[in-house]
Amino acid sequence: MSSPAESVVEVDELTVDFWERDHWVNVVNKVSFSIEPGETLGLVGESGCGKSTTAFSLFGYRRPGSRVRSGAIRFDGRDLLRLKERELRSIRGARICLVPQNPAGSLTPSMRVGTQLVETLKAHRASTWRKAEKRAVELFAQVGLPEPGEIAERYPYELSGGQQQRVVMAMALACSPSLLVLDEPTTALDVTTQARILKLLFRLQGEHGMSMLYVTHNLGVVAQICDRVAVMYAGELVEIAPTVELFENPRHPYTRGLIAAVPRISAPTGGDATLRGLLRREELPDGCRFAPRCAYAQTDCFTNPQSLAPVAKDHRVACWLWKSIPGARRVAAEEPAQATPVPR
Amino acid sequence: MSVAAGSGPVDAPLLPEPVTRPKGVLAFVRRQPLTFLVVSAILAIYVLVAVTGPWWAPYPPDELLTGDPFAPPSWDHLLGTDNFGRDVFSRLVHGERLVLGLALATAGLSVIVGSAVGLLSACLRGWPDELLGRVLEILISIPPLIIALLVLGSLGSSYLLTVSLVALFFAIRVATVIRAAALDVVVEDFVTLAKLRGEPIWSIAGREILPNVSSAVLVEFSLRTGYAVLFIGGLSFLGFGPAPPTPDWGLMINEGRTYISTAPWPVLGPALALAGLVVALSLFTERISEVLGLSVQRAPSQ
Repeated sequence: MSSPAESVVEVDELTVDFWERDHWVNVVNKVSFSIEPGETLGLVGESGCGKSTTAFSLFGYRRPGSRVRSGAIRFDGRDLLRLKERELRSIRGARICLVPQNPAGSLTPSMRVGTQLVETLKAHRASTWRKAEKRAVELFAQVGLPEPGEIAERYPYELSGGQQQRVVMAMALACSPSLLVLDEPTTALDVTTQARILKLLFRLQGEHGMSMLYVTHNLGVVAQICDRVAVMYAGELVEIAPTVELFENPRHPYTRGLIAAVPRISAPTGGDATLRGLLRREELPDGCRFAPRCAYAQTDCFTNPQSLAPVAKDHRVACWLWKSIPGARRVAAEEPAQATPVPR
Repeated sequence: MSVAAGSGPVDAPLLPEPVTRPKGVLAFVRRQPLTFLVVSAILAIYVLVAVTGPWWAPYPPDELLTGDPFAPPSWDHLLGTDNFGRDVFSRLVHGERLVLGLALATAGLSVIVGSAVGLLSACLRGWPDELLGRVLEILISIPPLIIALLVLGSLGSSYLLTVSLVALFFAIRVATVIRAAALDVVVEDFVTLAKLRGEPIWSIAGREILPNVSSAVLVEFSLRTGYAVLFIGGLSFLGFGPAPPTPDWGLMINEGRTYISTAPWPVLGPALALAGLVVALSLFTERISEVLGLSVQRAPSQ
């Protein structure tokens, strides 16, 4: 871990609740992590585990019907959760930018994409319309769009999904942000296009030297582009480690389950594995939130909350049993209770 | 795990061809149903008369005894004359500018105010939106005609007051419609993204949401113009409009009403002109909303 002063952004004990009918439901619980300059941090977890909420919090943005109960997000010496809307506006879109999940829905349908990009540029950088237009075409070229001048004249519905994603990326890069948040940016795309976009991301990160937070449930993508990975379960971070370390030596039972569940052509003996079903928030125990689904859970697990503790260099796990659990490479083969093989 | 750090240019698929239909005004006109063409032509004539009428109307609007009082329609007096011998046709033509002008001003004002309120409410969301929504619902339950008569009766009638009062009533209704349309748009990802891009709220309202509810705004304008013609005509008929001898259509109907059994033409002329305008506007609105993919609220205006 580098010293906090060097980090681009530092999330400290972030806790977010959602209002549901008549009570608050905890969605993100004491999540802490930091992102270093030029680093790509992957944030993985199943749907609804709070990873997108965490990502959106980096913009000081609260969805309607949610509240930040406690915590801080330090960026540039300021706490984003305590800034006024006006101050946030100067950071959003300029210093921290979002590449959203659904590019088709993220572009205003009734405006030419070039105009949308120009407006983004104008919002943060005072310059003439003419200059902004020129810059827009440059940006379109940078994200690998063919005939950028012609694309700029088009409406979103006249573009393919991959092209829309590139347009959205151009908008995110418009002001050379220091942090790019990617919320499952390739989920809506087919595998070929996904590969192209990832390649492009790599190149752009090299050119702009920015840090990235890559939110996804796709472990394959994480392995390709992330330097470090944070695994989230039911609103809590359960493990954080450098990518290679995490895949080679996963310590948390949940992480192991996730990795074992990735279908592999090269290792058919491992078999397709499944994790036991999802739980409702109300059913979560006071202790380790993963305990009801964990094959190793003991009585204490249900009552003692776990927090991240170091197990190796840069590797932290929220499981007090990590030492007594067998090594990672045998995960798939030796844990039928937790990773059930599916008959072929 | 096959994608490595690549730096070469990325090959993208070919551009999809934009969907095109035959372009040009002629092709567009050809696609329209006959009713719409007829209605548009009628409206065009109304506008033309309003603009040019006073230059070619056969008589000045308030010249007395252009012929015998209550003269039936003839080549000299196309729609006959009224009790003062004034030419009904000339009065109609002269009054048209007023009728149309007041209606357009009212509709324009109500749509501007109403859209602004509706957009603001939808953009704010949360409790300000709830509050504003409830306030609009309360205001909508106030019967406009009674309040209008009360206000105009006590303050005296003037064009400015009439237009602003009626526009206010309509604005409440426009606001609810635009708010509803905008609420569908604010939940879209591109609005959230615009917020995360640091756009100020007025820019989100004006640049992200307004263009996507513009069809609703357009239909409201057209709809409110028709309603305004009726409403203001009604006020004039009840004597809360311009004073005699203004050639206002509602006023003309009121003045001619006494003699309707012996000489119906001083009433028939303005009544038919008013009805024609309202029906034409209504059919026109219906067609544009159809083209824009919206449905018009069919309830009566008040």
